[in-house]
Amino acid sequence: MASRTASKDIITLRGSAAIVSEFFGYAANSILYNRGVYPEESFVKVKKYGLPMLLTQDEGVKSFIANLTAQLSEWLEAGKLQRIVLVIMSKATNEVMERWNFSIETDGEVVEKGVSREKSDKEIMREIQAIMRQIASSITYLPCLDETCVFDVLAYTDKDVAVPFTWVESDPKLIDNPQMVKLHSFDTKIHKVDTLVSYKNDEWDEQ
Amino acid sequence: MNVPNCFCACDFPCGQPDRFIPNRSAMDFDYAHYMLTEGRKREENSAVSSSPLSDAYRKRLAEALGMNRSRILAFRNKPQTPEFSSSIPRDIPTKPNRYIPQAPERTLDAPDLVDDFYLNLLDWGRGNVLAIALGNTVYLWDATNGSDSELVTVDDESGPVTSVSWAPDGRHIAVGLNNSEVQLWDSASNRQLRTMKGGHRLRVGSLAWSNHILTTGGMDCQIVNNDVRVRSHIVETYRGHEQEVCALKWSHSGQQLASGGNDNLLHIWNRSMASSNAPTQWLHRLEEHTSAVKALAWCPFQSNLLASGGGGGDRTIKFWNAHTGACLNSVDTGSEVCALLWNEHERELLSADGFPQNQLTLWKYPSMVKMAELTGHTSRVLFMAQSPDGCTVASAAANETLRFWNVFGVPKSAKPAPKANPEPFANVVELDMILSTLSNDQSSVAQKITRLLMSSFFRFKASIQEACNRCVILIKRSVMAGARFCEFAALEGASLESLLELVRVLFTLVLSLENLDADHIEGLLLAASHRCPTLQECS
Repeated sequence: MASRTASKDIITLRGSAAIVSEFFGYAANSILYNRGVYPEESFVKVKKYGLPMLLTQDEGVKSFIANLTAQLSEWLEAGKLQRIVLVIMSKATNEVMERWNFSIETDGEVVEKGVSREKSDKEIMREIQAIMRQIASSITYLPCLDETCVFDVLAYTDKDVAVPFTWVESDPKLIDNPQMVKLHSFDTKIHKVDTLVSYKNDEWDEQ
Repeated sequence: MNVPNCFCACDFPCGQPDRFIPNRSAMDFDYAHYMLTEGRKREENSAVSSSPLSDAYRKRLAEALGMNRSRILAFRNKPQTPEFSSSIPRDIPTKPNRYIPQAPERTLDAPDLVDDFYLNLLDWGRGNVLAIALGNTVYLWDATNGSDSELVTVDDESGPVTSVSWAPDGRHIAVGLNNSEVQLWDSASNRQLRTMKGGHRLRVGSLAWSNHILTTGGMDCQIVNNDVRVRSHIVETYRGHEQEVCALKWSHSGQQLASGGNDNLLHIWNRSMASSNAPTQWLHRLEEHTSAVKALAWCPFQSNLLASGGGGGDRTIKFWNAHTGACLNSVDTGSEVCALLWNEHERELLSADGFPQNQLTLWKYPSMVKMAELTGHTSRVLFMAQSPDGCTVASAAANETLRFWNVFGVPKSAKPAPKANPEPFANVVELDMILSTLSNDQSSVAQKITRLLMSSFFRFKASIQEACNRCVILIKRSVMAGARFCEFAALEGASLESLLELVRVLFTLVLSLENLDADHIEGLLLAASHRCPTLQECS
């Protein structure tokens, strides 16, 4: 966030993109930890957003997320990212178990005219903190992931985006008849991020 | 697409709906509506009419409505799949079950073993020598080579021997007698060092060492700490038992002493509370046993944990927190408990039982599940002792046999342990220091040093070949010192024959050029040249 201008309360497009992509990096780590996708001992605790956050030490996952957030901030600065989805799938069957959906609305005026917006850092942090708390507490209602799972990240971009060499087009990996829980949102006044988790219906409820 | 975000309850400001109310923008109603209406229509219609025109129309409609309004992208390289190598319990490697031999590894006769529950006649010292008292005699059995020897036979007035115990050094051994005396022996030289009298009025049935303190327990109910180094050896006395003291064990820290008696009492005494002027008060007096407490064992992996076994009327093994005096567990074994030993490698406890089974029982700790029962003795197992490596247990039974069991694991195959052969005079001064003096100092000093080194490096008793090899080692270690050693060896009484052989060996070695550097060759030649004049004179 070095590019954010001197006054704390003025937010540029670049700064906003940095906040959102960084948020996504921490959120992905938190989801992987809380949902037990990677072993607990491969995470270390850091302080972020006024909360203890866990970051993976697994080199493969670390570099995956780093490459991802770099690409995301590029798209965010261009205003072409509509949505990021973190998908958790069964390793054995590839069945989609959970979709963590981060919808992004970009203020078109900022992208076109290069104006900046105002919002205090503290307030943004408070909003992100609320989302992180909800992610951590999601284990209370999400079904248990009994089997070994893998994850993937989907980026929904505008149609006119050139596909980078390292990316491929994917299907949306939807869940049939999912349960959905809306989490908090945060807004940098340039990017508004809505969070929603959808997950496989727990069959036990029907019985 | 931009459905206003105010479907939520009015209590909340827009954009911050309560967490459980679905968010319309995130749910994409346009798309859902299209899928519900158009999508279904298409399915229904497809059977009726599928003109290319209507297809084209639908496609444009779908595009306009946003069926393909975004690209969904994913990384080509997928994140590596998680590996739960160590965290999932099912992957924990399970220890293979240990095979416990059911038969004794060896059986020895123990004639005249006194069948007395209250004595302690068997001990296995750190030097891997087993001591057993048979009648008036103490025998030593060397477990390394199986040889036996007699340490001492006491006369009938003082005997029989009532207890034996190795000192921690594995060399000195204490022998308690029926006449209340305690003898101290050096097993290496087979020499009696001292007799300690006056501590007890009746027989001494139990002994325990803690460094230089030998604790003795007698039939006179007393426990005495003897400092074996000083003339007035009685340093502390513990009074608390009302009948014969038959078991004594120091904790591994040497801070606590457990004592068991025929009065069914188990006492724990604190060394730091002991004082010489007053009989010391016990730390704990444990009265739960209902028969004589003969078996005592301090846990090797949990300090403060003491196991005790009761005699014929009690039949229990009890576990104590020696710190608080709390009884942690009590297990009925079904027979009198004569001895207890902990496994030093696993959490297991071995008990020696009397009537009716006369067996050794291996218990898992703390579950106290029976793991094995070793039968073979035909009469009650009185005494047990553990080898220094903790693997083998010797048990002596009233039927006058001594059996060895590899119950705590198979001893490591007798590898040729690189027995650190101490260098000569290592306790006084380093050998290199001596050699440097030998090579540099004046002749008279060098000759004296040669005299000192003769016994180590050119021994008369050893074969000539061995003597020459040692001499070569010395030359290789210090060229000059070696040469001078050879120079003075003749003056210090080396035989002509051995010196001739030495010269021959030195020359052969030089000619072979095996693993020699220039210094060594020079040293060997120098040494040989020192010898030649002497030989000339002699011949």
